[in-house]
Amino acid sequence: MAPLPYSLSPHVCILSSPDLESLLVSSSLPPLSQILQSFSPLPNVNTRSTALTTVSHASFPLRFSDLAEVEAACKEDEEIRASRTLDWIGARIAKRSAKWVEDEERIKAGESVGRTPWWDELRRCAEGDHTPSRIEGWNHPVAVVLAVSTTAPNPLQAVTALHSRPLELPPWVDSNYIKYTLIVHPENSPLSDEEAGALFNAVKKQYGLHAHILPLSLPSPPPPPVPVPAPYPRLPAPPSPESLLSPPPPPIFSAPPTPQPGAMGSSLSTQEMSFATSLDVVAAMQEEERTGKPVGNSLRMHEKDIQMMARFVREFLIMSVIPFMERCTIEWNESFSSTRRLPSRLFSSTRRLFGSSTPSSSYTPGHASTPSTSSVASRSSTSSITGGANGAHGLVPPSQYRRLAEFATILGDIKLAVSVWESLRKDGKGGSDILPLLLAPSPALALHAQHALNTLHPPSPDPPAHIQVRALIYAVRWTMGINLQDYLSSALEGERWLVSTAGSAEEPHSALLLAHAALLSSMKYAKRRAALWYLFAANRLEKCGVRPLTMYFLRKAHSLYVSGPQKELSPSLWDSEDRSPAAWEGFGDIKPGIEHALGRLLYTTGDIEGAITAFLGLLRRSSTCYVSPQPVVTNGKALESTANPSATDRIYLEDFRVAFKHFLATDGEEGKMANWKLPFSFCNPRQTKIRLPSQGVGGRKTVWESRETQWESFWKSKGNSRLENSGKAAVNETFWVDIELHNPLDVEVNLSDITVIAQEQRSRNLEAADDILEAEVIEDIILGAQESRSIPLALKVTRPATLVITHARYKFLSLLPATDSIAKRGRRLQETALQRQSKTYAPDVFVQADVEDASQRLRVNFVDDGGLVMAQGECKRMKLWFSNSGTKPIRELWMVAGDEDELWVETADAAESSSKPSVASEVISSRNSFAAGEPFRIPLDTLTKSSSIESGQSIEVTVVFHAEKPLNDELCLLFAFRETEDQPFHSARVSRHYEVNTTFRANATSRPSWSPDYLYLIDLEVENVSSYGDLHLSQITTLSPTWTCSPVSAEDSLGPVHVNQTARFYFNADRWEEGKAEETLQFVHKKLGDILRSRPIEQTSPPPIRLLCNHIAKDQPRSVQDPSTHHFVHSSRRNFAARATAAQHPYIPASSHPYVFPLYSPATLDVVIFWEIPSQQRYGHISVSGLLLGAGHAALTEVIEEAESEKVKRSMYAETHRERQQVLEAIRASEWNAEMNPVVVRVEDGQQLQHDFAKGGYLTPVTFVLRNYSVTHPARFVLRLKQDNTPAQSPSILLPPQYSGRLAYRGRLEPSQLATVRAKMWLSRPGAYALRGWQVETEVEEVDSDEKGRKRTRHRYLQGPALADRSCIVITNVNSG
Amino acid sequence: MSHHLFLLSPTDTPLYSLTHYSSKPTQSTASPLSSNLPSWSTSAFAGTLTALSGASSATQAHHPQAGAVRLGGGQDRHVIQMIANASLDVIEEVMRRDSAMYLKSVDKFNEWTVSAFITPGNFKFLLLHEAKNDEGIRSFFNEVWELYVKTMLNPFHTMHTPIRSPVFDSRVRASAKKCL
Repeated sequence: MAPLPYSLSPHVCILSSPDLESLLVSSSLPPLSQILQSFSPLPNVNTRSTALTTVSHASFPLRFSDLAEVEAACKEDEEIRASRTLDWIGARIAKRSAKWVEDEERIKAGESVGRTPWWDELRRCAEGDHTPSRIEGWNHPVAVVLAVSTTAPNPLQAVTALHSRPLELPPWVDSNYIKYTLIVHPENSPLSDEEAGALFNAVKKQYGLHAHILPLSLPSPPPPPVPVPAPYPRLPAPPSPESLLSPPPPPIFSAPPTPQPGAMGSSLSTQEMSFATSLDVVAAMQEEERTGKPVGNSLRMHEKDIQMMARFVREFLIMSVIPFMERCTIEWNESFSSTRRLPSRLFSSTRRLFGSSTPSSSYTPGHASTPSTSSVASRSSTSSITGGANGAHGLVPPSQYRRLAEFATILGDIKLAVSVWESLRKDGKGGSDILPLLLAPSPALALHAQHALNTLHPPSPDPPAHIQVRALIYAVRWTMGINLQDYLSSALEGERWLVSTAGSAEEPHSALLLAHAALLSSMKYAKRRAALWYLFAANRLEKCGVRPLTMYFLRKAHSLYVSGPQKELSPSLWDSEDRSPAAWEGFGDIKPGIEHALGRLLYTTGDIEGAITAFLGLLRRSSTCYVSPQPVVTNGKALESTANPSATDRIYLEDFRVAFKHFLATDGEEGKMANWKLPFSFCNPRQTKIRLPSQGVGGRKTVWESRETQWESFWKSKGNSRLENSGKAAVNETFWVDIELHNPLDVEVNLSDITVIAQEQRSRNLEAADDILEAEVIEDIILGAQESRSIPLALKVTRPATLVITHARYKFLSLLPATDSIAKRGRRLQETALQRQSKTYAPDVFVQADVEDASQRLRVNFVDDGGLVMAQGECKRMKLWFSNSGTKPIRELWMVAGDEDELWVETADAAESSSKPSVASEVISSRNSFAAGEPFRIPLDTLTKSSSIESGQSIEVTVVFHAEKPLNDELCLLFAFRETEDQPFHSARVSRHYEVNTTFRANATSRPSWSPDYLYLIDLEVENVSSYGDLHLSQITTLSPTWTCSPVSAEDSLGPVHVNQTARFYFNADRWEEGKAEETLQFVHKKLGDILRSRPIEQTSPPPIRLLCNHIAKDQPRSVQDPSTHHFVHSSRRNFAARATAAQHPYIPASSHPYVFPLYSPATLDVVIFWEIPSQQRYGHISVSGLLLGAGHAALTEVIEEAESEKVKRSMYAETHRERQQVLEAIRASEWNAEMNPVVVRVEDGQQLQHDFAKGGYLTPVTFVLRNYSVTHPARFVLRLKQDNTPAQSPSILLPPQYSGRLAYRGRLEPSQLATVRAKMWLSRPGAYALRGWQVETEVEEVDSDEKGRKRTRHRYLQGPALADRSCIVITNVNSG
Repeated sequence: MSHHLFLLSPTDTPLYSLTHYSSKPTQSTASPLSSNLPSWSTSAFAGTLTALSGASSATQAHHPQAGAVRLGGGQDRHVIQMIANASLDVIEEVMRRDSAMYLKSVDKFNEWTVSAFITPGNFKFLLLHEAKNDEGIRSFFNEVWELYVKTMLNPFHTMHTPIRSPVFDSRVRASAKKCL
């Protein structure tokens, strides 16, 4: 068990006579109580318990105090005194805190031993209380020492005076004490030793044995000081009304008056105190100041005097105090145990029944001869009765049992003490506060402590001061009286007792209680809880104005929170989460909360720089936690609030602004500002980019890239002149860097003086580029909360250089200069194993701007630069304006357009050729390749005189643009240019947005013609689906390699087609004998065969082909030979074919399409419809493609069969196999492998016959026309006629035919040949005879190429009339008679 | 009556926090102050709970403005978070000896009682509340756990991804409304 706290020791009051006081003062000694106190505690004291066992105390403390002080304190109102005590403690703490913090930070001792100077101070203040309390008896005097000296004129009379002086203690103070007489006999006394002895004897005789004579030498020059333990601080006496008028006498053993809270920071710094001796040095120092001599905690007493004094104190304790207490204990215990035992209870009740006196009344003190004790005994006997009735409160002394428990505790009779305290506690008369000190550690102790606090007062926000003081005293006793290990153990959790003691009072002592709890927690490694309590402590202390200690607590809370406990987690957890254990962030608001309080304190204490650093740190944002927005209830409706986070940001920012303005106004040193960095960056490097004037054109980046690739692949074959990077700025030309600024804060901020810092790159070295760069400075921008904005900054460079833009510079809030790096992190490196295992990144990537000499610069613009609205198929003439803004001439200029863009550059000679006389039909030649259009070289020699664009000169070029797809798009043109052939190309760009509206919906269909002269009838349907009112059809042209067309009707239908109206045209199509298809077909067959056999495709283009164009026009038809028309017709066919092919053969790469497929298949028939809007002078044409005429015979059968029957190469990839299958299927289904029955049978029907059936039946001829639509293969046929046995669809209407005569006809049809078969039909009665019942077997012949002339059948077909065929012969009966 | 919920990852990084204001009337527990008891036994632990939470929560019903830690939007949020953080010390201690998921009221700071729920994946759910409502909190925690498991099924959700799912948020709110 730990030794009992100091405050649980016998209290002895001293009443000294005035002569003794003056004697001590003349000997430079403190009052007697102070001198005697120096001898406490006494070593090796033995006491006896009630069981008469000896309890030895290693040290036995005694408390001495001046009776006058105690009397005065008792008179003061308890509540006033308690509040004064709290103020006094607060003032002492406030005064010393700065020094303590300084020492503590230097020594860092408190953390290991669990003691801090402020806790020691608080503890001593609480322990030093010596005023008797109404609710406990510890401070009630056990003895009163009446001290006189022999220097008095009449010492005996002085003793008598002291004895006769009534004690001015209130009635509730226990009067059960001993009176002790002390006679100090100094050497210089007028009485001799004998006289003194006589005096002592007289006193003993008169006042009992409790007396002592103390001879002292007290040499007149005071001997050297002897160090003694420091006295406990005591509350100074309240200022009396007189003292307010006159200057108060200098207090000797009291704290200085309460300092003004505002002045405490500065007033302390001059004092020199060490941790060990700092306790109550202030009083000593005042003494020192007064006497001019060092005093400290020392006594100027002679060695002999000290021995005498020690002997007296020991004798006083051993001979008087302890026997008195032991006797009291034994006697009271008698009565206590007798009431506890059943028989005695019975006894007492009988006695009570029979009216005898209470057992305590039989108590007679041992020293019956001393009148003082006997009188006390009678008083105490009454008190024990009344005290038991109404508890510890009221105007009665504490109950006898309580005193018994206290005495037993002091004497070390733990067994008795515990039982008495327990019984007191059960009676609700206290004891819970002491029991934890006496019992073995167990969880019950925590409940005792809690109970003790709860009985003091119910937990309330602001308990009265005396309750707070009492709770504080309890808490201090517990920390002192319980072993530290036990106190911290999980069973007790003593630090929580401190916290509950502190309650919610906002006083310095409660803050210190919390701080001590925090310290104990951190000793238990509960760092997080310690941080919390430190924070609470700081919050309370801040309200009391103790700033140095507040800051210390805040720093402790911060460091404890940041360090946190070691997590018992697997290291691989961090690996798997790709995080570092050091990157722990925790709760987002804690750190800012602490730092903000700290920053404000720093600011108020004048540490502006520290405050600014703290405020800057607050602005960082963490995003680990999602905070669910708090609903705010307004008018009964819940709304999502967004105000909360911004409130803190706004406060932080405002504090920062105020602090920084103050800094600028007072100090403003540049060097200090450099240390402050914003914890976040405004610039978003990923969005930073250079914008050149030449790039101020639309178009997607990918489009421009594809244009450049197109140009490069085109030019690769022609030379090795590269295309200079277009992203280069020119010297002295303004270009821009766009930096994106993002405000991460939830509050509006302004940035001023925004500019960029660039460096010049010279052979891998970076040099400052200030001399060549003129960067724009934007004065001020305001960024809203969370706003992102792109800021363009104009740059101009005076000589060619490579600029690396490294940083953006600005002033945050127009105050703090800051630079943000605009470097992007390099890509993650994955090359080596080491790089893959740990994250490695390539060097940072900066935004670069190349500045070159402005020798070759070309500006291109559309003259009419607006949105372009076109009708579908319209040929729009646009003017391009080229202006050479460089210093050198441009001699070569190329235009690169997209693959699908149909553009025609009008040149002088082209314009001439357009006025050719035109004819109804013409033949044009086509390359027949749908290779993409190549870049076009703009003929500068025809446009300019010197065949070059000189510097500063401009030219205008007219371009015709034709668009057939109704869409919104952008026309992007890339121009490559250079001066001479040995120079690299430069590029210029231009783009224009266009919109195409539909005009016509055109549809062409074909069917076998009934006319024997023609093979097909083409039906063209043109519908005006536009909103143009006066849309005219001006001309229709058909194009085909093998077919010729002639209109069925006249050209009447040409002309205006109104909105939503349809015009129809019919054409007869027939073979064009001059058309050659063989070469083209062979080419395709070979190429497709190569694909099927997985051979590489040769890079050969299809053979050229001739196209026959037939026009119908109202006036002079436009010639397709006109280069621009020819070009557009070719382009639109190319676009159509390219799209169709790409859709049909997705597995054949598009780049090889030009080498596999021809543009025109021989069977193709295209129709071009020319239109115009005369009122608006607009014209154009649309194409109808996709018509295939003629029969095909599965030309690729052999190749496909070969490919199918080929031994299957096993591939490990199912995808490869599937892909091959799909290629095969696509080719099998393609137009090149088309297969159909070439023979078309037509029965001439509709004959209306008349016959007189009276003469018998009628034999009529039926004509069958058979035609071979194949253009390549002859066909043999067998026409069989028979009875129609098939059930007719509508049996009631048509009669079945009855053929007669020859029923089978055979024949052979050459390609495109026509044969007519006349059969006979027997009509036996009038009616409508269906022309059914026939069947044609067709065999397509093929001439074998291996053996000459040998024919073989390629395909066989069988056909009959269609089920829905309604052709018939109608015969009616006429009566000829 | 406010409640503060925090979801913490095993590394004690908060991923989600919710402040819920309960509209339910304060459940003034009828347990009288232990000081009013004429006598209580130290051997029986029946009184522990009363002494720890019951007695003082009853008094908070009388003094709703008690304590320096009233919730005031952003300013005191760090104190709330600090309390949640501090309670982790006790929670870890309790976890060592108690394998249950729902740890009931583990700690108490001023008027705040901290209840905790530990998932098998070592996620911690903390709830700061003022009144005693064991069963309500248990069912609330169970519902939050279910919602949390559903959120974690998202393959893109790691241990440190803040839970921003609006569905999760609204369902937790609904559950809080129901149980707390």
